[in-house]
Amino acid sequence: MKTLHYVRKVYPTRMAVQLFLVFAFPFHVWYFLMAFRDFQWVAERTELWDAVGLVAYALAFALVETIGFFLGMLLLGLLLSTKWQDDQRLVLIATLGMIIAGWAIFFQAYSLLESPMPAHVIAFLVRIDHPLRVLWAGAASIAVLSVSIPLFAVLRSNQLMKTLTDLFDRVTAVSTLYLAIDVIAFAIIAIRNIRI
Amino acid sequence: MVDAITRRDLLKLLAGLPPGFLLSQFIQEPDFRSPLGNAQNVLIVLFDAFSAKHLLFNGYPRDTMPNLSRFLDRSVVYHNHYSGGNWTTPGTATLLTGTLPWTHRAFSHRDWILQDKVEYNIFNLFGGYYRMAYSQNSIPNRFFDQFSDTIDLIKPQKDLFTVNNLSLDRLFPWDNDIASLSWDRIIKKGEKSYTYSPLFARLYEHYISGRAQVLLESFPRGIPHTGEDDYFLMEDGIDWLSAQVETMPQPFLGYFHFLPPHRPYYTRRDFINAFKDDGVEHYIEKPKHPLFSQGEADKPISLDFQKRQRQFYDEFILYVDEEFGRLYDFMGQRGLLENTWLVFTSDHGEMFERGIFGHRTPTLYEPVIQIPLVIFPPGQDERVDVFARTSSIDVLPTLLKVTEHPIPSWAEGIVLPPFNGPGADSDRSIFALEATHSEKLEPLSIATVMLVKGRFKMVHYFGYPELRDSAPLFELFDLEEDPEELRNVYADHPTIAREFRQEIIEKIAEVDEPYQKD
Repeated sequence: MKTLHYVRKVYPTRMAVQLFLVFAFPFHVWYFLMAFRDFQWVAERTELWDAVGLVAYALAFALVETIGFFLGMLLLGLLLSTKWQDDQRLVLIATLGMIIAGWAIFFQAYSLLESPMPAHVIAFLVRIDHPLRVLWAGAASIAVLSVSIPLFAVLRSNQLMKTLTDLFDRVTAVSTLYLAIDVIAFAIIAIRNIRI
Repeated sequence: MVDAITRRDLLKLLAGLPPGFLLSQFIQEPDFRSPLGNAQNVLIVLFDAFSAKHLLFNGYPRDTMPNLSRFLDRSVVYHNHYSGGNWTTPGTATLLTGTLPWTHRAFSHRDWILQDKVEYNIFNLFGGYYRMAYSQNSIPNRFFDQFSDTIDLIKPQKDLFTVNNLSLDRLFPWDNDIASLSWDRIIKKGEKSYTYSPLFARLYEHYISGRAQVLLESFPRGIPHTGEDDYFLMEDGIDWLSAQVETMPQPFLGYFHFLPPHRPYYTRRDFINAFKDDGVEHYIEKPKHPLFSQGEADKPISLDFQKRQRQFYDEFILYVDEEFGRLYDFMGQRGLLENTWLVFTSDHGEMFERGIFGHRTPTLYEPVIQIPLVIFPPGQDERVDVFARTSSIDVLPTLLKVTEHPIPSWAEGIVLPPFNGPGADSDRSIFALEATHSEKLEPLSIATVMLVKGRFKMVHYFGYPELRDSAPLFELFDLEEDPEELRNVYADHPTIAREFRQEIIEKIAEVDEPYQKD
């Protein structure tokens, strides 16, 4: 009870809902893109209704992954100082979440597009003695910088804070639509699994 | 002294009747079917993609089934048995309905058995039997769904899979096909190297890797699987089947469809390299099919690749043999072979020649359409060999006959020798059909039709894009002189060619007639 009370104090309802909607955006966009990539061949494989089913299952899982990610980010957000205002913490957590989700989607897209590593990078790695260490160091550096620079900038710049707040407001509006589509997706799944 | 029951007591007792009646619905004796006289059990054990051409008793130079060989002296062995189609949908539907694909109309992935033919199924004909079905392959599970009113127990596909994770098809069994496909696309990387799920897929990958690590010790080439990574072990399937046949109510009808030796050919450690460098090589060098070989037309067949694929497949069959042997020995020890008709068969074959690997091909060459059929009659103590040409559609009427069930008029097959008396008509027409790209409710438009009669076999291809600039293709083979189908003798036997051609054309017209639009 104490823990719950603390969490509710750290995350007022409005803030929690807004965070959830912000995180729903990248996942739903990605899932939509992926499901519609496969839509045609699934429809040709069996029938159109099955392709619709694929999209429905995908969106349902997008919601599940959003919930899981949201809960993870809430936990991470508990590390932030409660001395900061709610708006500040919301922007920070949302920004961090979008960066993490963005990286995760980037790696999927990289695999999808079968993009090889640039030739000059490969040539460099071949020349050096410990290519794996260099790769790990490079990846870690890029990851740390891609997170720390934006967060630092957000904390330092009121203008950036305001811009991101407006952006996230728009994103939550779109995500509300996605959640409405999720409801339809669940209905489709239910219909597909009804046996009379 | 016991007090007499008063009227009030009686009224109180009567008040208990309605709830008692309701309660009794939940407290029932198990549905025990007392034996129907001397009714015998029927157990069909099917191994997917098993080519009859890879069996020693059919002249193959490798002994891929030493265990089966031990049991043949108590069986009826069919040496020229044909499936109704060259892959699982038409092949399995043919076996289960006793009708050819142009009747049941299950041609492609999107096809179910025609609604008004659903009652044409083997389970429906064994009333009074306890009927059970299981398939590791998802396709027959769609047919089980259609037949569900006539099957007492359908074991869910993934119940016997090893890494039995919480997948969508477990949550949504009534939508097994699309739920399973969606799960594969969402969470499993596999060959496509990406997933819908940006984050959870990584967690899943770690989870699966951990679970699979142990199994890889026994399966160094890879763990047998279907889909991306639905791992299974034949041992689990056979163990479960053994437990069922021992305990389920009798008489029973069971249909069990196991995936091996369907690709990937991941055999168990003890069978790896059993056939390496044994001199069989790529087997027989055959020319590329002019129209339907896979890969680039001007690239020669890699005989080395062909040799390795064939070796891996044969070693996978050794695994099948080991597990079937275990089942057979178990049933023998328990005395179940004394009152059970055990059927060993497949749904289609597999090819490693002519630039065609696997079974998804428009062609209907012997390796892909001839399948094993061995029947173990209860108490049989001698071997009977049948060389007459037989078909999957014959299994249903045969099992009905030997278990003293009436044979419906719609069954298209015959009762197999020696159960029918003197013998099968050697001039009987055996058909098979490949029509994946034809529409279910329209006349056949793109298809391959096979007719085998006596020593000759004709294959007719029509409607394929590859034939766009030429007439429909007819190939004629003399299977006695040329069992490897190396020479098209259409021009050498004009009378026979004309007769076979006419029969095929008339048959196509006959089966198309209900679907012709006025």
